[in-house]
Amino acid sequence: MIAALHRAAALFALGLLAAGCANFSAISPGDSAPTVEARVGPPGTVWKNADGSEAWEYPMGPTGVQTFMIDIGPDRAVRAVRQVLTEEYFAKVVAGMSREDVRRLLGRPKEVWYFPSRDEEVWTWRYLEVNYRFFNVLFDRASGTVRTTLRLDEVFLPGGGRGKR
Amino acid sequence: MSTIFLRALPLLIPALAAGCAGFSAINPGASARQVETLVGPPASVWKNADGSEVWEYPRGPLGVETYMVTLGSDHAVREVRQVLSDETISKLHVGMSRDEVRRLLGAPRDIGFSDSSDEEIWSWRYRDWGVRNMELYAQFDRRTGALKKVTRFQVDTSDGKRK
Repeated sequence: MIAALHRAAALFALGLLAAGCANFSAISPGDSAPTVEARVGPPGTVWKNADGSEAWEYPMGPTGVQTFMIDIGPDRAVRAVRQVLTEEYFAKVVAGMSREDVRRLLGRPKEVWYFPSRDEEVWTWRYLEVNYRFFNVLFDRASGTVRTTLRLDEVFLPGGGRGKR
Repeated sequence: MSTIFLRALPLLIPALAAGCAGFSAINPGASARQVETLVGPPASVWKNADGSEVWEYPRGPLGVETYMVTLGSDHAVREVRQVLSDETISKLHVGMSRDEVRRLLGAPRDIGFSDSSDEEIWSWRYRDWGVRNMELYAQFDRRTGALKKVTRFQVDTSDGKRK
């Protein structure tokens, strides 16, 4: 009885893991839009381009350190699968960009904070670059344009108190 | 223009010197008046039940420090502490009120908000070991006012070009 329960739990956990991480690598250029949906489900957001192509955004949940963008051509076939929470994409964020520019580049942020006294809005993504790091985009809140970006390393609190974020 | 600057120079130098050396020049036993002469009036004064007081000086001479000067009920200095340090930060714990945090670390440099998690976020900037640029965040539940989470970060000043 107990053994059976353990086995069921193990199978369930394996299923979750497989659903969580394996499928994006199984999508190849040329796959159809329905194939994408069958493998990884519907996107969190769909961005439509003027030429009929689309970018499907899959943020990997609040603790996730990856966000996938799947580029779909006007012929509804996959052109590219991109994991965008990397330095390659962070480096494209420059002063003056709009909220939507940043959102389309990096997907939905993990957190949005605002600081009224300095009229600033701070978007945060968590990512993995050897260690877990945080990428911040600081916007001028009134104009909605990027002021600057920051990369942060968490320094755990003394006494072993591990901060979560 | 330059003449005005040169004339102001003799006034400026002692002002700068007072700004830097001020807190280290305060010794236990100094009077409240001597403290005011050395570092000016505090931004806030916290009164304790036993008649002692804590004088708070946020942002220190370098802009990244906060000093707390404790005066006994006799109005003589007991101790001077720079509180943006590991020692004080390690005293923070979940459930503390805004007042308790304020008394430990002094006024935050900035206060922010998160609507999605209904939090009020206090932030301090300080310098660890005199060199590392640190950001400290204390996140409060906006409705209960209780401290939920404390995190701190070292700012990567290489702008992503390290590796």
